[in-house]
Amino acid sequence: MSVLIRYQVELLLRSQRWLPPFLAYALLMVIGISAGETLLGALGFAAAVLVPVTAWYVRCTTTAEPAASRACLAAAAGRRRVHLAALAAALTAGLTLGLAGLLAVWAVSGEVDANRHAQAPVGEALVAGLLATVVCVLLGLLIGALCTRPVLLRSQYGIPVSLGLATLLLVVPGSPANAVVRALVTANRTARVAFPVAALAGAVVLAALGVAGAAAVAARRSD
Amino acid sequence: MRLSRVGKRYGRRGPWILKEATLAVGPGELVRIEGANGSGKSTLLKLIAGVEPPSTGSIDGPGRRAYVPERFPPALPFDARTYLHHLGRVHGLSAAEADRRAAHWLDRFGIADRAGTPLSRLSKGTCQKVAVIQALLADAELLLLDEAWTGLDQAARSLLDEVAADRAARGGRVLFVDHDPNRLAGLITAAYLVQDGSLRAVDAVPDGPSGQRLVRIEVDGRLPDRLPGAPQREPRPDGTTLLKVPAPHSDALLRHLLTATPPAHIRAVHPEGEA
Repeated sequence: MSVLIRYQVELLLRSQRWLPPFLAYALLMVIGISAGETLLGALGFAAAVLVPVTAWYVRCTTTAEPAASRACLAAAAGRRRVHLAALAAALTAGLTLGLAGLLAVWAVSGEVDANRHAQAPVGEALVAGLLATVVCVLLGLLIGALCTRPVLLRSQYGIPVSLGLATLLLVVPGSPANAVVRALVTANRTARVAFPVAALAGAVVLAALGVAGAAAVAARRSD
Repeated sequence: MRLSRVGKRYGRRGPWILKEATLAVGPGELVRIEGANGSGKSTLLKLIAGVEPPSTGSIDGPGRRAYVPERFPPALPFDARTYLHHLGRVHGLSAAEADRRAAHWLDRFGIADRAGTPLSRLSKGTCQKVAVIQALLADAELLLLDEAWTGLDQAARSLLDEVAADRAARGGRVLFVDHDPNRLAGLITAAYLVQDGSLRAVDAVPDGPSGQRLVRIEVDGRLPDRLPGAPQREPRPDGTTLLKVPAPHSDALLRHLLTATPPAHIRAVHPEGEA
């Protein structure tokens, strides 16, 4: 499996398909975060952006390979494992980008929070940011897995549905993405950092279900 | 490898491309699939390869399968060596072994000098050779060739003929589609026709093209059970064996005999008809 994942990651890198989502992420970060902004506020924004960007990466990795070479790969490894490897490559891309974004935000941010009376410890803020990054990447993976082949075969709906779902997951109360982003925004105001571990557990479960479902569909359905 | 009542259609309302296809292929078989354009030959091979899932029925096959598509896309952002390294690894080889075998086959197909060229800059035929090589890297138990000869030069066609026959002779299962009716003639063990969505056995044409000559090879020593070209064997009183093999496969047979462990001792080789 690790061999397949390495192939998919290399395919993503060499095909330059990693570039458009990366540029979109970088652009949104430049627009949304100004230098000297509070660390917690910026982390909240950065995490939220990762949801659609990771979904885009899934779209990249699942469609990067021409049908004929995917067929060669599927004969050797099975359709299910090929699709799982593509999803894993997108997860790797999302996490790498999220981590790089976290470090960049830390580098350019000013104060830790916007509270005039108290400052939260930087370490706590970063841990909360990391947790939010992981949760948002996992939910992006979930959206991507559901909105691309072979689950969603009408590819013209893939992008609008992905964007809609990403927005929904970010604004609907009770969603793990909403919980982690809100925790960061609240901590930015109150200087008390919270760690919504339940949201992480929820995101892991949702993403695992989505990925397992997509892999099962890949094994049984042609596209 | 067994197909039981396999049906296939694309989409829930698409027409049935294959219906109730039943097929069994044992070790050592070299099977030809025939049919008109668009009859579902390629779909059948894709189903057997596990590239497409069946809509109905079930397919039991050996784990290790290798598939050669008819057209291999040069859109992949790899050079031949890197691509083959990855595919070898996916086929379960170690990194060193994958590189060694890739180098071996690149050399045999005469494209070792282009191993570092990006696939997008290779000619169609050279790309097709890469597609063939990825399937030969691992000794897959099931080799599926979907018009794999298309676009290959004459030398590569002969080599692929030889390799396919050799795979079957060593106990593999080989299924192929090709528009040349004489492809691997005399060596195929079964042939099937895909027509109107159904699959039926047809005559495998036991003899090669008319007038195909045999080559007689006198060999000393124990012989493996399976030999390329399925030669006739005549044991002789002095302990040697006389093998008669169709001329196009004599090279493959000789190579196999000489590289076997322990190697067989070849006493004489002469065309049939001479003393």
